[in-house]
Parts: sequence; structure tokens; C-alpha cells
Amino acid sequence: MKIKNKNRLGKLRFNFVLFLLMLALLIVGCVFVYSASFYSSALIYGDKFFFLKKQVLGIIVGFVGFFFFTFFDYKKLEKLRWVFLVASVILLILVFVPGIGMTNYGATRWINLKVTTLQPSEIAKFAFIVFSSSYLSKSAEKVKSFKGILPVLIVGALFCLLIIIEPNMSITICMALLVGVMMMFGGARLKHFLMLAVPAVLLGVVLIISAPYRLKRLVAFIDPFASSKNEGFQLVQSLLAVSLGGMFGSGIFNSRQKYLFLPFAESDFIFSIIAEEIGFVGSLFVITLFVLLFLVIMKVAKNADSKFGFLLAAGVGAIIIIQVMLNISVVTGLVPPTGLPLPFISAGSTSIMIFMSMLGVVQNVHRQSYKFY
Amino acid sequence: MAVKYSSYSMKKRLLALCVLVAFFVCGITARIFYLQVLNNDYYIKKGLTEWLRDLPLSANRGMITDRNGVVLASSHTTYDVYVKSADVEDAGSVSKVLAESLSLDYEDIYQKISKKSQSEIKIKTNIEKELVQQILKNYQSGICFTINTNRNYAYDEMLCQILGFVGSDNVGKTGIESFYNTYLAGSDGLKLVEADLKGTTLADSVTYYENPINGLNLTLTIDFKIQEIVENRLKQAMLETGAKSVSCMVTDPGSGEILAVCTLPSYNLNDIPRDDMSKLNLLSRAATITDTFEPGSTFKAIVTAIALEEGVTVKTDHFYCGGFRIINGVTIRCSRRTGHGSQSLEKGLMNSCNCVFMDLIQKIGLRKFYDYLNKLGFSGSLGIDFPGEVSAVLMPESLVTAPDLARMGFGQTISLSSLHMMVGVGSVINGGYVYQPHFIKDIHTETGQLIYSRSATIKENIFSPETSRIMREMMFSVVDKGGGRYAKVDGYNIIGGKTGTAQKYENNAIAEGKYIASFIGFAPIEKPKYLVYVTVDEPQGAYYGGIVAAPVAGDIFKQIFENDKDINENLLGNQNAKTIELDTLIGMTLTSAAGYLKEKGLDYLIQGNGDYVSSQIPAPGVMVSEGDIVLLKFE
Repeated sequence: MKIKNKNRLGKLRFNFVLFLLMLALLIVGCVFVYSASFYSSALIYGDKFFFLKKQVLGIIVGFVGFFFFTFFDYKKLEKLRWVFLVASVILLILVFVPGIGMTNYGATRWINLKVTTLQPSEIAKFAFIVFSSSYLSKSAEKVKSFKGILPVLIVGALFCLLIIIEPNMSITICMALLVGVMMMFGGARLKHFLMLAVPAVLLGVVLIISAPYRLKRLVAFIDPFASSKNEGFQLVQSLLAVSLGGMFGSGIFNSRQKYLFLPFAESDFIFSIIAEEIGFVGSLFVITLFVLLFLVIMKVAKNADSKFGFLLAAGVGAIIIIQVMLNISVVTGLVPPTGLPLPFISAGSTSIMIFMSMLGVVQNVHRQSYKFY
Repeated sequence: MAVKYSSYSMKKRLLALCVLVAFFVCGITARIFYLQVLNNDYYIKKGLTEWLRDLPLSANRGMITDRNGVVLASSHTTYDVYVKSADVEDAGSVSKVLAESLSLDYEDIYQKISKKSQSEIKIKTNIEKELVQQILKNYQSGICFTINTNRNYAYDEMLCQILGFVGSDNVGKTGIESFYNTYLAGSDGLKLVEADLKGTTLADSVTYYENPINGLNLTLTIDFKIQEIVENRLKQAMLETGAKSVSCMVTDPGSGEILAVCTLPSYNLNDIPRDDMSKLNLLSRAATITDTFEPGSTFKAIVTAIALEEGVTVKTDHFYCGGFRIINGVTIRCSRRTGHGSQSLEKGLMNSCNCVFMDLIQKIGLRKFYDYLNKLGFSGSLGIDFPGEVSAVLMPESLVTAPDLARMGFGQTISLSSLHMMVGVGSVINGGYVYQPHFIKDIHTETGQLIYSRSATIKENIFSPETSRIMREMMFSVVDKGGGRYAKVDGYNIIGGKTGTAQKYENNAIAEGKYIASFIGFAPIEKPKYLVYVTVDEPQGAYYGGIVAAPVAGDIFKQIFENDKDINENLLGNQNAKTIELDTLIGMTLTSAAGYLKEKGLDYLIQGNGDYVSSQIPAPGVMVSEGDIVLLKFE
């Protein structure tokens, strides 16, 4: 057997590139969460560091998660898959229990923990990766039949259903894409994908038509300026922010669009502010960080010592890059607006904690790939 | 591979995902590059107004002056100050700022704005821009302004249909105000204060200040003095003739510049009857440009010039008039029932004998005739810088019968605007050039910098200088000894012209007793500087152009001459006509009256169908010159 991953830090069995990329993205996140939010937080909460403090708190908890999973044998997760699954479903249902669930902007997506809020749909993504990796690695032969992939599909569909009734279209889309990616890596046949793609697209159309606000958003997306005061407002403001950046940007902390023009500037639309303040060059830099992180994770996956490890790492890499691309596409008007955080950067403690913990798992997969030498 | 755990190619599927990701990343990057670098102006322009809150600094509308700088229209902007009680944060500082800036009583304002019952409290009206700026320096939430723009027309009714008026939004609605609105309007200034979406000014915001760019000043080709002469004389004509409407246009035939235009009745531009839309629409029509009518005999000048140019006649040709012509079985009468007998072309023009022109136009032929009308721009547009210019109403060529063509020879069965006549007759006498008529002379900035200067535009050259010279001579004879005698000005033997009397049509039939009397004349003969066209719509009593319109034009010419140095200097004393005292002709038959007048060397016109002369113009006892015309009424 050939020896791989023999770099000079090999003995430490710690993927520093992965860690440094995560750190870089978290720092970029802190800078821009502050820049995007100081005006509105000062106005609304009387503290211009309000969102930054929450973000730093999330990162601290995230580090705990990251290091815990770095040293937690990922193979034990396989046994815990039902725990994750059931816990996620319960949390997703709890959202709808009055007194526990929290409704914001017409959507019930959060669980109120008094000090902070928890978004179960973020946890559900992780739970799904663990569950499907476990199932798919054990049933390599079954997967070749349609019946064999049904458990993955059913669990995926259940999650999608619970998330879409919140409603949260964007995470549903992410979840659906994740189901597809997991099946692909699990070895499902291409013809099964095609069989599933048709009803999935049809379902998407039905969902859009069933909720008038989605249709309005779609129309607003086609011509945002026709409704620049209503549905198209967010997109118009985002496009304006991106345009204002130019090649080199208006300088860090100098964005204009954060002055209440751009709703969710510190969370879902943080990339607009990044683009405005550090321009095309800076945007390219941030995208490059994500692409490198994705490639590093894929390399870890490729070198994993078990199929379960491979699927886990590949799933984490996939969900990160899916969310990054969807988020930036929304901000730049390539797809209709949906609220989706930019991993590691957008304000939102649940998202930060979960993504950091997931990277911890990847780190552990990396560590275990050295076992044989 | 670290460990082999599957039969399918995991590597291939990993690669597939990476390719897919690479594809999407490239797409997204391209989109960002497009938004930020290639096309970033687009959204910035759209968004600019959203984050910069502007405060009122409206531009002054430009002035309109005559060719010598006499101001005809000007603007003055004032502001009203209000307080929106809902927006007041600190009533004390609002009152303080307003009291200091406007020299008002603090307590008074404070009490007013503390009453929450009213949503908007008026503080002071019609304050100047400087005071507004002073208040803005110490701006307090709750203070607001409204703009009053007052457009002032220095001479009320003068040129009302031409200047036009502006709407309450200060945008030109009609006339020059509308046509040149872009130039007159200027652009409002901005005081741009960076603000958030709710309009709260940002603490460390940069303030952009852009001065309003006031509108440009227009200099028209209108000559205030001539305009005044025309307006005054037309007012008098309205009283004398009891007409429904009178119009006059004066142009420089050598450039197409319009020197004066007036249509009565008019209205006061400073007190526009805005509540009566139908009345306003009627009064604000620039009828000389936007309405057509059958011009009648004045059109004969154009027909004669075409005939000469085409070589179908010469000045000395003779024509016989028996009082009518029969064309294709249709009898068309001459104005004089008894006929004019045999006469030369020149005499025919002086007598305004319809038979002569029926012959001429038939010799010219329909095709050629319509060609000339096209070259004159009658069928299309004359290209005047004025909204709503009308084109001539011409029968389609294929439908014109021989009698129709014959009638066109004396200006009926063809409908033109006054402006068409100005362009047409202008080209007859100016050496043959068709000029584009225009109102604008030049455009200046507020500080006097020249932006645009209009020069004469020749569109066609349709007559030779020789044809034009002959026409001027013959038209001189019309005024000197023919039907246009009442346009003559003592001491100035330099006017040529042609009269016209046209029956009006209503609902496709001749309207009994309704005429348009007109006179078109020019001076001086050698190199015409002024072309004057007077039309009198539905005069009461006398209706001949030579009687009703020619004297009006004569008086206008007289006053223009008195104000024109060049004409006075080049004046040749030419006073040798015999004068005689006119006897009474009342009670005579047509034959005996005609015999008497012929013996005295006088010409005559007949009106009415009675057997005996019931009245005469001029009245008995008046001194007349040889060749003058006497109007005999038989009623």
C-alpha cells in the first residue's frame, strides 16, 4: 500500500490546511458581520457590537464542537445515527410547539432557548449526512436497486417535509440536493436519479405555485425594479451593493448599503456587503477560500479509511459548497431570493456551530486515515 | 486509494462533483465580474436616489424675450414653509430655527406647532430661496417646504397663443413653453445628504451640494414693437368689423423669421381660464399655424407665379372675362357679375378676376400644380418650431375634377393655414426661396453664454429671380392701382400685395353671408423685409378683403415704416396722384354709378343684390385719389 498524506506535520495527524481555511473564513465572517451590522445594531439594540458578540460566542461554542469531533471517533457516529435522526425530527417538530417555537418574518424556524435561538433545520442537515452515510456504506449492494435507496429517500423526504412547512424553502432545496449528492456517492444508479429528478422538479413547481409569496418573489426576481419597493426591494438593494463594490471595493467598513437598505445584511445577504466593501478582487478571494476548503475536504474523503468516513466527509464538503453557491447566486440575482446563510461567515450561531462541528468530523476522518502506517 | 470498499468508481463520482462545482463557481464569478466591473453603472444610477435624500432647490425656468431683449415671460420661485406636526421631534428647536430665520415670534410658532390637531401647519408663504437655505442649515425634523413657481407674462394677452403657458408642475403645456420646455426647464439642484432608508441623516455623512441649473433663456424672432403695433391695430379691427376673429402674421420673407403673430380674441396668460377647458382650448389655439381655411384670392399670387415660372403666360397676355367660365358643364362665376371684359395678366391680378386664374391653372395642369405645393411643403410639414403645425387640406390628386382645379386657381377647394400663405407668398416675392419658418433666434444661458443660434434655412428654390421680380411689380400695381389700394400708405410707395375674399364652408356647403376677408402684402418692393398677412373671419357688413383687411394691413405697414430707419432713409418722395372729392352715389343704379366712377378714374366693388346703391364706402365728401376703390352696397 502506498503511503499518502506524508507531509511534515504528518505525525500530528491534524489537517492544518483545513483548520487554517476555516479560521480564515471565520475571521472574514467576524469582520463583515461587524461591518454589516454596527449601524443597525446600534439603532435597534443600542450596541453596535451586538451581532459581533453573538457571532464570537457562536464561534467559541463552535470550537468546542470542532475539537470534540476532531477527537471523537467518527465510527461511533454510525451507532448514534438513530439518535441523531430522532433528535432532529423531534427538534423540527418542537418548532411548531407554541412557547418553544419562534416565529420571525412569517416563518417558524427557531427554537427559543432564552439566551439564544436554535435552528433545528441546520442540525437536520448534519443528522441526515450521518444517517445516509451509515446506511449507504452498509448496504453497498442493495443501493443498486431502487428499493435499496428508498430508506434514504424516505428520511430525506421527511426532513424536507418538516422544513418546508416551517416554511424554509432554501434549506429544503439544500436538503434535497444533499439527498442527491449522498445517493450519488453511495453508488446509486444514474437511471434512478433521472427517475427522481422529474417528480422533484414538478414538486418544486407545485410548491412555488402553492405559496403566493414564492410566486411574487419569482416575478420580482425576473424584474426586480418593477417592485423595487416591495418584493424586489431586497434584490435591488443587493445588486446595488454588489455593483457599488467595483473592482476593489469601497473599503472595509465603508459600505453604504448596510444603512438599513439591505435587509439581513449581516446574515443571508452578507456577501453583498463583502462585495461592496472589498470589490471583485475580495469576492474572488472569499470564493477561493471556499473552493480550497471544498477541495481539501474532498481529498480527505478520497483518502478515508472506510466508506462511512468517505461518505461523511464528502457529504460535509457537498453541503458547504451547495450552500455557498446558492447563497452567492441569490445575492447576485442568479436565482430567486431565499434566505440561506453563507457557511462560516453569516451571522447565526446555530449555523456556525454546526458547520464547525462538521469540520471537526472531517478532521477526525482525516486523522483515522493514518491508522495504517 | 487508501482502502477499497466498493466496486463502483468512487473516484469518478468525486471528479464529477468537482467538475460540476467548478462549472458553477465559474458562472458565479462571471456574474460578479459583470455586476462589479463590466456593468456597475447601471444599478448605481438606479440606487443613487435611494440613499441620498434631496432637499428642494428648484431651478428657475428660463426667460423668453423678443429679438431685442424685451422680456415676454419670466419666472420667480418662492417657497411656503410648513411644519408636519407628526415629524416634529423637538418643538422648541423647530420654533427657534423658524423664528430666527423668518423673523417671527417664537412663542407664536411654538403654540401653533404644539397643537397636534392639525397635521400640517402653515408658517409662512412665499419666502425666497435664500431663507430656505438658511433654514436648511439648521434643519430640524418636521419642517417642510412647498415650491411655488410663478410664471410671469409681462404683457398679459400679448402673444398668448404663441408663448403658451405652463402647468402647475411648471412644465410647458402649449406653444413655445411646450416646444422648448427642455431648454427652458433647466434642472433642479440637489442638496444630497446621505441618509439611511428611514431618512435619518447619517452622523458622519458627506453632503453633496449641487446648484440648480437654471433654464436657458430663449430669444425669439418676434419683434416686440411690431407685435405691439399688430395687437393694437387688430383690437381696433375687431371693433370696426364686428368679426368673429381677426389674425395677423408678420414675417421676414428673406429668412423665414416670424416677427409678429396675433389672433383675437385672446386671453390673459397671467389669468388663464383653467376652469373652462373648452374655452381655454379655443382661445389658446395658435390658429395661424394650427387651423386651415380657404384662402381665396390671395392664393392667386402663388398661382400666377407658378404660371409665369412654367412659361404658360407672360405679363402682357390678355384674358377675356364675361363674368363666368363654363368648365365641363359647370358654371363658375367671377366676383364681378358684369364681367371684367378683356384685360392683361397684370390687370387681371389687379381686378382679382377669377376667370384669368381659372385659365392659368388649367394651363399649368394638376400634376405640375401639386408638384409646386409639395415643394412648398404644404402637403407635409413646414418644419416650424411650434407644436401642432397643420398640413394643408388638399383633395387627393385622383379625385380632382376640372371644375375643382379651376376653383383652386382662385384659392377655393384648397385649405391652408396662414403660415402656408406666408411661406408660399414669401417664396413668390423673395426671389423664389422656400424658407423654413421659425420662432427661435437664439438660446443663451442665464449668464449670457450663447448655446444655440438659428440661421435661415432654405428648403427649396422654386421660382426664378425674374418670376419673382415680375410678381413684385404686379403685386405693387395691385396696391398702387388695383384691389389692394386701401393698404397703401401715404408717403411710402413701396407696398405690394393681394386681397382675398373667401366664402366659408360649413358642413360641406357654402355658409351664406360668412366670409374670410384677407390681405397679404409686402414691403419694400425691391428687397422685401416685411410680409404682412391679415385675415378677418366673419366680418359684419362689408366683407371684401380689399375693404376690410387691406386698411388694417396698411396701418400696420405705416407704423412699421415709421419705426424702420432704413426704409425712411431710402424713401423716394412719390406723391403725384390727383385727389378728388367723392360725390354721393346713393340711390343710383349700378350702371350709372359705374359710369360716374369710371369717368373719375375710380374703381369699384359691389356687395348685395339690390337695384340701387344703398350705401357707399368711403362716404360722400371724402377725398379720394385716382384709382381708389369705392364699395357700393345694394341692399
